[in-house]
Amino acid sequence: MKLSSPALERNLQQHVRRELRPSPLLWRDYRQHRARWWKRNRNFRGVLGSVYILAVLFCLAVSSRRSFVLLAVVALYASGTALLRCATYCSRVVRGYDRAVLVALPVLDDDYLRHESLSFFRSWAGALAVFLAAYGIYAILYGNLRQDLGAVLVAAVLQTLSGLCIGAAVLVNSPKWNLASAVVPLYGLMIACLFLPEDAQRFLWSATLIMPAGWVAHGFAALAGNADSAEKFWLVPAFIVSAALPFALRRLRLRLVSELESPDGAFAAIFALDEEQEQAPLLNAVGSGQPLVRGVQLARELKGTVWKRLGWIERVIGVLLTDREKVVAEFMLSNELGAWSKKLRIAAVITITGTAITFISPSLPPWLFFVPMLIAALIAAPVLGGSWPGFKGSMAYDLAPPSYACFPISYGEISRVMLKTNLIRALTWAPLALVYAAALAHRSGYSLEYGSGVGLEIVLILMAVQPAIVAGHFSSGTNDTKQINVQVISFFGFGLILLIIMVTAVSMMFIVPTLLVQAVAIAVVFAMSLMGWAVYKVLFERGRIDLLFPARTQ
Amino acid sequence: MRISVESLSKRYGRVHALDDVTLTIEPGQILSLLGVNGAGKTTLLRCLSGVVSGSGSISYDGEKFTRGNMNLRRKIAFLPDFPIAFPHYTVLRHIGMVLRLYEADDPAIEPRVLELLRGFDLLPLVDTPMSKLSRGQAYKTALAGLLAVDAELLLLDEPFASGMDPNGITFLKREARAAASRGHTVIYSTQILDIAETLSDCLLIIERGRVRYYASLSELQGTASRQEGNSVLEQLFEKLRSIPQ
Repeated sequence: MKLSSPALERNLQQHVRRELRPSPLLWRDYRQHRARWWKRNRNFRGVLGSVYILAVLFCLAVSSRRSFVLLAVVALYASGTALLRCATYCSRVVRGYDRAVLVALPVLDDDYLRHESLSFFRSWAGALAVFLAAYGIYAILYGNLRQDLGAVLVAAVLQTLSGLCIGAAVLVNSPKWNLASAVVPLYGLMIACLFLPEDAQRFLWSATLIMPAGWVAHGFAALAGNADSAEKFWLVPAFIVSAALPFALRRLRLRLVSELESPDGAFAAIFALDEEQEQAPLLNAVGSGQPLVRGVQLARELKGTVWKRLGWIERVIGVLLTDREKVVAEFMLSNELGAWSKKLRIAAVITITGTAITFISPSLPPWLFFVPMLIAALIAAPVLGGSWPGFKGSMAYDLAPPSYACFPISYGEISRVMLKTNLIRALTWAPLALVYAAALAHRSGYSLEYGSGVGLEIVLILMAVQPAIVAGHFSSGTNDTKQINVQVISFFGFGLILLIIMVTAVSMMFIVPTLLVQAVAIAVVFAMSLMGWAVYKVLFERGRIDLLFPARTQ
Repeated sequence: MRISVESLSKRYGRVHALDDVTLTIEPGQILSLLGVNGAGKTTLLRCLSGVVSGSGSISYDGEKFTRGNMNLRRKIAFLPDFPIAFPHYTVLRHIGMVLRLYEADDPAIEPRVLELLRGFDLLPLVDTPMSKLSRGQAYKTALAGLLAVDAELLLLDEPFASGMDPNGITFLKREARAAASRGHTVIYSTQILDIAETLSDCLLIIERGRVRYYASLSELQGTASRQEGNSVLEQLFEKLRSIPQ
């Protein structure tokens, strides 16, 4: 199935251009709206990005000077990419954008499936190229490329075919399994493998044998003469798995065909929103107690005493907010309301685990100890201001306004809600920050008191920058970086000065760690942050910026 | 194309979106689909296009319609109220894709495509990606593609609430009338009674998934008493509202 008609399009384009050229007005319109070539090749940019990340990983693996690390990275990447590609393919076929576009056009399910499968196999050709490059680099560095060329080809092809087969088999046999739960650890291990001690790397290399991708990698290592020659027999089961590929693909295809044929499966998923909107009044009419639109449900539930029924952080914040501010908070948070207490509990578990590891673990790269703290902070503290769905827009063409812009809610009201909420969230996270900072200080050879002090400074800085973060949230839903006028340029110039002052103040807190300097620095950071928020408020309320941002079209 | 719908029902979970709909639509007509929000208008259009399937049967010129019947599907053009397109496709690429899928990408169609682009004021936008178009422009692009196909049955969901400009609406009305005069059928849903009254040959009112009223406009105008200030359709809706189904 071809989705374009190049000759016809080219002819039509020439006709149109000939017709428009005599009219300067229409010709200018045409030139203004015409897409630039680099904007038409978004896939190309995505591929470049992926190749760049993989290249960095392979360079790191090569620089470790341990031959098996590169192969372990390849095996983990191959397993992860097999699951990810197959899962993406399945969800795209059944519920993807292509399906939504083509479902109303005269396209046979078979043709559609063939079209999607072709693009799927093309993406696997990219994976094959990555495997060829990886095994080729290995042969150059740790073997003899000319001698090992055959082994490189065999390994890359087996890696591709066995990966495809395993991905398809997993999806056929466990269609409801959340593949992200498997893919994320595989990719995580792939990165962690580069920084682990040698013993742990060797263990991970052996552990890759639980996956067919590991069989290929071990077999290739033996073929290249860098492992026990008996290990080359691992290629036999990999070959058997690869040979089962037609069978696995046929099973997968049957599953997809049955899903596509189901009248209420794929179609309901694609048009879910429309149907919900269409049915809502009917549901009410038949007396269903479960409205379909989540926002409606929330709005109904959040009347009166509902804040008292939420978690303890929500209850504290509920006391601080006025009735009007509660309404604003409910709107801006949508379905995120009620998650703060739960997030703090998760962060507490991560912090306690991380603290224990920091105290008792053997030698590991120092940066690894900061990771749990960072994760806990991102979960529980308003590091980036928190998640506020009210700032997001809806699916639309062209430019879309953020949700709050369509309702009579002021900059000040939203800011007050966010500031009160974020200050309480920062305070509730503070004990965790202090404990973990003390543990990190202990690990680094400093006193516990020193660590707690640094932790406290971090909490105070986080609280002081909140006004600027709030302004940043407003900015994310505007075209302020694209609509250039005198006021906007002046604001960004002023904002840059404020930022420099804030960075200087924060630096002084750590360079001159006296109580007076620290207190003054925090006050300066807060004052600059507040000034930035206030100046943006003036721009915002005087209408110097548009509340529009590029719409989410997919 | 003669359309026969026999006992068509469609359920979404517990909700009857369409409930035992039976009707026949003669070729060469413009049919206006009316009804309150959630009555089942969109579902009926989706069933007629094959996007969703319900129980019962739909036949076109006596031939039973299924989603897999490509010969029939190439005779039907369906445009949802929110046209879905590949955002990175340009206007021309989108139209090219539609023509290709309808197997109508013949060089002889070029003058017709140009005429439609001209009629919808889309000429300066031909190389613009769909994601950069306004809702009305995107709707006009999708419409231009489908009108170029010249399908025997044109199904349009809320075309007059699609954000199209007055020129686009006028052009669409002219194209709909021209299609009907060629023996093609146009079925569209709308909430605007004035348009339904001036554009349509037939009216189909749906309520809670059932056909509440189905007659030609001339028949309705013949039976209705002229009241000052109220159009014939407004009177009909008021009357239907006062009588429970």
